[in-house]
Amino acid sequence: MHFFSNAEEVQLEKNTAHSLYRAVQEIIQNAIKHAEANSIHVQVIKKSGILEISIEDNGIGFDQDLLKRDSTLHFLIDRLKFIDAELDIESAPNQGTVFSIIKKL
Amino acid sequence: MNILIADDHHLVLEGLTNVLETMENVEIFQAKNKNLLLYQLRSHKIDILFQDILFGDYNAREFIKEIIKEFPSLKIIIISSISDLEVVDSLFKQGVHGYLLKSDDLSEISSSIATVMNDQIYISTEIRDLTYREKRLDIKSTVVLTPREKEVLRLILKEKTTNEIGENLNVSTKTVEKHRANLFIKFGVKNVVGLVKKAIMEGYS
Repeated sequence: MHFFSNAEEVQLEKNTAHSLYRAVQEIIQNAIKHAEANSIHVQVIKKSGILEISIEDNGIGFDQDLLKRDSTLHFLIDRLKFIDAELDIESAPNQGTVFSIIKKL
Repeated sequence: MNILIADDHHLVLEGLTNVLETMENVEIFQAKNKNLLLYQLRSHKIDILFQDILFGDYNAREFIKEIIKEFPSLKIIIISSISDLEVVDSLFKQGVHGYLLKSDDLSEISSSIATVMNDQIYISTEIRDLTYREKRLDIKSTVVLTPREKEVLRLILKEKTTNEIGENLNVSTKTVEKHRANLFIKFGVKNVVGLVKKAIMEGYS
């Protein structure tokens, strides 16, 4: 497990921070349970106008089409929309997965 | 003990002479240019040479080896305002025995003499601090990359365009740009040129 951050000074509303925390937790748990990953990188990166939280694993990955039909994932995306954040997923079979949560600042 | 001061600046020459003259059993010689330097070295049995780097028309880095070859028992202490570690390093590699900065405390002069006469190397405290700081920076700048970032970096180093990288990794150009932006942040650079430079320095290639 690796962690990188350049966003120590970013201040978030308590609600937002809590939702982001939950989302990251869920994604990590999922990577450990289902992705068969043995390495996870979590990065909290501040860029111009956005905060990007990415969780990258080296696990089995999955087909993007299957992903669109996954209900837990939709639930996660909806909750993120609620705090004005988006979820971007980059994955292909056997090529690991990168989940990026993008929150406008 | 015979000490030769080689500096083309009158004030430095006189200032250093004044300081050294307060020491016991010391005779001071001076040289303002390379011809005088060689003349003094050949005419007297000089024990220690305080040598400036930018010395009139000459750069001591170019002739220090010749001097060491002709006077193998001579102790050479560089005294310069240059604190660039590359310069310091190259002079030690050529075989000088000490390195002082013109901004150093006067007490460093007597310490350096005692140290080199004892067959040891003397490095100015300020330079030692600099080396330490640079080493710490090195440790801090060791960047840990995610597998995706490594892939993107590898392709950037192969001079691939954003489009080509996207096709190669089967992701959108937007995604490539995202990873690239993260690489910039992690390496602390502003553009691809900086990224490539830093990455090669860090051993990626």
